[in-house]
Amino acid sequence: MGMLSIFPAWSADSAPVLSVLTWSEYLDPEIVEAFQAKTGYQLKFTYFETDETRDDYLIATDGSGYDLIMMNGYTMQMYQQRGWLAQITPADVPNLKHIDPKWLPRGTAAEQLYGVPYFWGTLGIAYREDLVSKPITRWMDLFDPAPELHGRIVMIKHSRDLIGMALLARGHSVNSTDPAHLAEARDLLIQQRPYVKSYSYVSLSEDSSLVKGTVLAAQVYSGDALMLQEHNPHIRYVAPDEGTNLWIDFWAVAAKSQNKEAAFAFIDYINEPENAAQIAEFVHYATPNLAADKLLSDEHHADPVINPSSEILKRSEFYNVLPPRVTRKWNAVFAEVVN
Amino acid sequence: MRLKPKLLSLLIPLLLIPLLGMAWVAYVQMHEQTEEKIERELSTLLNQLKMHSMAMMTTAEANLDLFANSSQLHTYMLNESESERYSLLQPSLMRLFASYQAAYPEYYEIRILLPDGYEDTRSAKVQYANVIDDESGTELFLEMQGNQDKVISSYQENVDDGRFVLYVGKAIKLRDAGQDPILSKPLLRGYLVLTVDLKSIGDLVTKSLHGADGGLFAIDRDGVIRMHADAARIGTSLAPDVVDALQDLGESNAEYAGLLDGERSHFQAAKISDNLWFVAAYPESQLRANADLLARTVAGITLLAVIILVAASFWFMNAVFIRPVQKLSAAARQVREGNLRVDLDVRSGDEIGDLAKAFREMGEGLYASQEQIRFHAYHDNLTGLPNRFMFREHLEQAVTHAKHSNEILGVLFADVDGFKRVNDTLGHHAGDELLKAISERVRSVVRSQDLMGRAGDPEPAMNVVSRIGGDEFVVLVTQMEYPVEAGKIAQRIIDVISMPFMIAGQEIYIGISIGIAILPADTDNAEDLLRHADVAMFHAKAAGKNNFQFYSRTMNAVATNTLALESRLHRAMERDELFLVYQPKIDLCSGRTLGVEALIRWNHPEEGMIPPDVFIPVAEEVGMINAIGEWVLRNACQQVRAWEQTLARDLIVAVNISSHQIANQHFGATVQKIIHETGLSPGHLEFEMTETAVMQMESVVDETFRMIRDLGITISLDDFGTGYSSLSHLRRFPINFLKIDRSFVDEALTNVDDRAIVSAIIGMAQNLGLQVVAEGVETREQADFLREKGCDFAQGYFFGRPMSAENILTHLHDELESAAVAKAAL
Repeated sequence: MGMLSIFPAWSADSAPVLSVLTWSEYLDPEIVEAFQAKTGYQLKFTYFETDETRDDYLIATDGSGYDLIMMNGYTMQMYQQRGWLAQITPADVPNLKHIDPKWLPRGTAAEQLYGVPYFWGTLGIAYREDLVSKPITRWMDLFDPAPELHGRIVMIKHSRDLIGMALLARGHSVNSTDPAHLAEARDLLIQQRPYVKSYSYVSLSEDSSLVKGTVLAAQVYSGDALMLQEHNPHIRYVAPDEGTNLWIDFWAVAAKSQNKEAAFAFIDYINEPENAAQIAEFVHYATPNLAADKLLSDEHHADPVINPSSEILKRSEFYNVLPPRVTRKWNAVFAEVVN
Repeated sequence: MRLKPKLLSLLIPLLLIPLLGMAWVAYVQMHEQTEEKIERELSTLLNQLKMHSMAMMTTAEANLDLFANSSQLHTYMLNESESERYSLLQPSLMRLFASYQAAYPEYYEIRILLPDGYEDTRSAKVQYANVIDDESGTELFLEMQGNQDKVISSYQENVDDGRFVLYVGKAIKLRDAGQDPILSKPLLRGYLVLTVDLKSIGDLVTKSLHGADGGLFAIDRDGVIRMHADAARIGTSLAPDVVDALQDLGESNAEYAGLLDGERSHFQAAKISDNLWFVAAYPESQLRANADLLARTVAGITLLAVIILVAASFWFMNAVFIRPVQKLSAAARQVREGNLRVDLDVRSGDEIGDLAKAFREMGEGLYASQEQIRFHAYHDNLTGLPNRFMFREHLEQAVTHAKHSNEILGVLFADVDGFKRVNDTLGHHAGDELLKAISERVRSVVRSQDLMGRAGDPEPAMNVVSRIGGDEFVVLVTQMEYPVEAGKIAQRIIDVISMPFMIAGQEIYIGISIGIAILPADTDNAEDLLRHADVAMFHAKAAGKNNFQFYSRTMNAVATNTLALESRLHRAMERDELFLVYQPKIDLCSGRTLGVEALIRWNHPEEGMIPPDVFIPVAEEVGMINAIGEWVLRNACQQVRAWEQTLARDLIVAVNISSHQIANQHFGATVQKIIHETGLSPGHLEFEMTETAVMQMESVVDETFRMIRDLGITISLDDFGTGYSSLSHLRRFPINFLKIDRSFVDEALTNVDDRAIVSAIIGMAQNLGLQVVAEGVETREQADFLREKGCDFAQGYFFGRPMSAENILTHLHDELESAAVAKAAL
């Protein structure tokens, strides 16, 4: 009840609204219900399909219009530089204390946070083991696809995920700044382009093209594959042999938000160990919340998709922010491939 | 000079001169129009291109302004942090540019150049290597740098991909956010450049191509061809003097003629910018080709018109003047040659028509009077019969014709007995009346003779009666089959003259004596025919008058005999003195009677039985054979049909057919009629014919043979072995049976030669698929021998003589019963 006093008064017919910009299927609706019931705030979700759509939304409004924003580590750095994000202190979000510091952005103290780690995972390939003649194990299986995969591949419409994995497939780092490496990756992508059904992100619903079988293989984030598996047990996830990207998603609060307190409250709420554990079980991702992790089932812990082996982790990299003129080159290549 | 060339040499120049003049004027006019039209078309095309280019440029400039005002672009250009620019803002901006390009595909590059010329952002619809990042030295950049307040439109070659494009660019000047809008000046942040693909204009240039040569193309200021239907020509240069001339032209609508690829061409040009001219070229050779085509067409039409006009006037002249005149002169020639009834077919309503009518009337008049003269010259005034002269003409013609077609011709020379007595006692007048009456009667006999049996003859008989002297008449009888026919006519004349005449109220009895000469029997010329007939007439007078005599004595004998027999035969048929007997024909294998041969018999009340080989030749000679043959066939068929019904069995009846019967054109129809009437199955009818008869007839009767065969009537060859024909020759006829003549059968058992002949005949017949019938078998030994040799059937006294109808019925009845008994015994 004490919490209520810090929020403005509200009435039933004009509930205050928290605007949330996030991936779809990335929260347990029960938790959302519970938060709404507890605080009287109504959560209004805007889902983005790719990182770029989210960027476009925010560029169009110069970072306003949303209270809570979901993003990955290096995006958070860009948004922060642009001044779009509000600082988060342990006082704002007491449950920060449960977060394993190793998931915080490199070189940042808990006092200078602009985002709270939500989940981490890998980027990999989800595919239909029943519809392909041999298991997919490598990025090269996607970039130089067998005829059965032609026109039945979905690649993520994101320059880092697309060009980065092409670099990996060619044996280079996802953060390579060598123009020659980029040229190799570009050629590989141009060569792959005729066989790609679309540059987007597969839906996670039961109507997903991967579930239906119109798409046989797609770049997906690890936990999403498990969600898809619930719709179709023939879907397999693989963190490819060449290595992959290791990512962390953060919840951030917009600098221009008018409801910062409620936004902090939401972040705090989902980091209550029981809640964080429930969401992790729901979305099949590994949580950086240590207290929650202890509550998770053995099954969850044992799942190699959720918790990749140390070997995979060794072969995986986080995305670093690239030098601007390198980014410019990446943009050109990405535009050439995707547009 | 004749009339036709005279008229034509006047008409043709009259037609030709105006026609050729018209053709020349038409050619000149059309040629000028064509040239003007081409010039107009080219200038229209150039104007269209110019307008299209201008519209494209104006649109691009307007769009550039629109794009340059995008807030996203401003955000991007104002952001000085490279990392933010490229990491966050540029991808979004490039998506915006990509969306512009989706709407305007011709803007295949949208670029942002920084103030220092560095290419910051490029959204390209096509893939190619970006050759330079630093654009600070390019013509476009320098131009934009020097004109920062306006939109720069420039046609240039894109160094990155070598295309000739339209660049539209402008400087972007922005004030920093937060600066005072009044006090601060906007600063240059960079340049926005559209690269416009000129493919749509290039397509227009290509599609509006005139011909393989010339057509439309575009050049730049250096005279390099930038657009051309022939892709190979793009990038090549025109000669500098041509380029200069064209670029001078560009502003005006004037024309220029110069060399293009070594060919003289007409040019028009439109200036689009200081680096783009559209040029329309039209080679003179093409113009010449057009002119040639035009000239050929006009010449062709003119020639056609000349031909048609000349032909029409030629026809007209011919129809209206030349031919009628020619006809008139031909008609005049005919009249000169004696043909007065000229067929002058000129009936026009003009003066020539009048002349022709007068000419025709003159001819008719001349003809009428000449005919009258001719009639008097050639006819007997008293009787109207042809006179001696005319008779001679007829006779000469008939003799020529008869010799040519191997016909028999007779001349009857008749002299009235006792005319002098009539003349003396009753006067000349009565004599004349009598002569008229005699000539009437003779003529009627001869005419009726003409009609007898010759109804369907295509060529009318040319029998002629003529009075050649006081009481002398001659008759020409043509187309006879037998000389005896002439005798018959003579007899009839005698008969009609013997009847009383009523002259001057008195009954007068006179006679007439006739002599007959026959061609070719007596002579081969007309002169002798008349003379011989005259001689024969004296024989008749000497023989007691009122009779006729042939010049040839043998002929006389034959005539007497046959005439006698003929009259008796006529009576025989009328009084039923003829009857049929039947001889059985036996199947040698089964011994059964297969059928009968019908044989004719004549029982004369006074002379007793007259054998057929006596009266049949006479019947053939006097033409009674057809009637007798028909009677035999009908009776035999009736009889056999009746027996078949009585005995309830099939019988074959063989009937002897004479060659005269088959030669008769109605024979086939007669046979069909009899079969129909009697109801006898044609398959039960068999015709027996002698070998000699068959050989005589040959092709004449092929058709009748075919009809007989088609009816299903079988044919057997009678008396085989007595003629001279070969069997292979006989194969041409549809023969089913061979009858071995009785003479061979008689001797078959005693004479080695006959024996061999019989065996050979049977063998050959079998080879040809014919069945063999032996005649005259009289002993069992003969029958055995024949059966042994493979002979199929036999007739003879051994099996049964010819029997009357009653007897043969009994015979068949007995055979039927014994067969039934034999069958029952088994």
